[in-house]
Amino acid sequence: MQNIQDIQGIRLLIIDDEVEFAATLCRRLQLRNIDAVDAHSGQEGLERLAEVKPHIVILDLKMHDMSGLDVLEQIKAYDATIEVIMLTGHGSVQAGITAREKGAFTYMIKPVDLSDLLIKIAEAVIK
Amino acid sequence: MKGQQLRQQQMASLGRLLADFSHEMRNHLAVMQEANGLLQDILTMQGDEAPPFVASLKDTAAQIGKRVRTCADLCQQLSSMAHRADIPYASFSVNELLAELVVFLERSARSQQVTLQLELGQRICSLSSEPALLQYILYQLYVFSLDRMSKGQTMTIRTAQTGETVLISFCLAGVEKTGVTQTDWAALSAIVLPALSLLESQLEAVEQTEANELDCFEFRLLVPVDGF
Repeated sequence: MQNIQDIQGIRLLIIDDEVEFAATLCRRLQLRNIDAVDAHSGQEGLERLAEVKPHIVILDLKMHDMSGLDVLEQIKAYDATIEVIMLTGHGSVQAGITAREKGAFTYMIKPVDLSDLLIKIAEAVIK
Repeated sequence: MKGQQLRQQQMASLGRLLADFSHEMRNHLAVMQEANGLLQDILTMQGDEAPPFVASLKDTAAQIGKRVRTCADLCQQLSSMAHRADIPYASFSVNELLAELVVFLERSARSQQVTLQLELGQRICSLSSEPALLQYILYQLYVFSLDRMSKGQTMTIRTAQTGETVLISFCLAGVEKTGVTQTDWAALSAIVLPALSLLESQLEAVEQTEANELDCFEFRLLVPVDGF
């Protein structure tokens, strides 16, 4: 298990059109000294990549404007070193397999315990 | 054939609707969990000098968190179950299918004070069949069984494999074999027969062994491993 110190100071972008979820998760990560920023659509998330320069992106699979898988492809095309953790309420195993095939670091089903998410973030950082 | 196709399409539609519902529920639960988590974070930041009500709020937040996780687990099971109807034919684990189903059956057993046990056999081959149809049969068998049980009795659902067949047995401990009449059995058979026929499966009552001192009515569903 990774230590939370490993991930303090990293830059993280949350892309999720569930505004309350993204904003609250962002606040909780900031309380743990993670430089987290939230975006509330696929397009907004892609536009903020250059500004935020994230090490990690937390990305929703289903958004109103774009599919999370399409956003994932564009993130990887922009910078293949950015690790992407997919989050979704969708229970299909196939969706997770497809996300991994397209380069996602991992796939987690909402709601996620913050402690589990922090472990995945730490694993992605040291990858 | 058209009737069967229509039924499969109806099941697929219902499966997608339920899966979407479950997805939506989990999004709301995720918002609740994060909001509750933030509240817990803020309460924890109050430190040792915090007024006494902070401890009470922490307990309340912990209770909310526990219930949200339980709801999320139920939604996950509902989603898995619903996705089984998405694809009419699939290769699937009968143990997983039963475990999902039992999550939703436990409550009705509990309210009747019947104990529901699941004993899943090891090394059981995946079935190539119609998972939603098998779910339907198992549900009907469960309802039939529960209707004949009373307070303090135990229903055990077991899985095992013999050759190219998976056995799913329902053992109703405390229910005498004579307590299930021919009429009951015929009524159950009539309900599940069309589905059994589509899965090329059989339903049979099991003879009670002399060694078993406890009254027990047992029946088995025999499902071929390859139902395609």
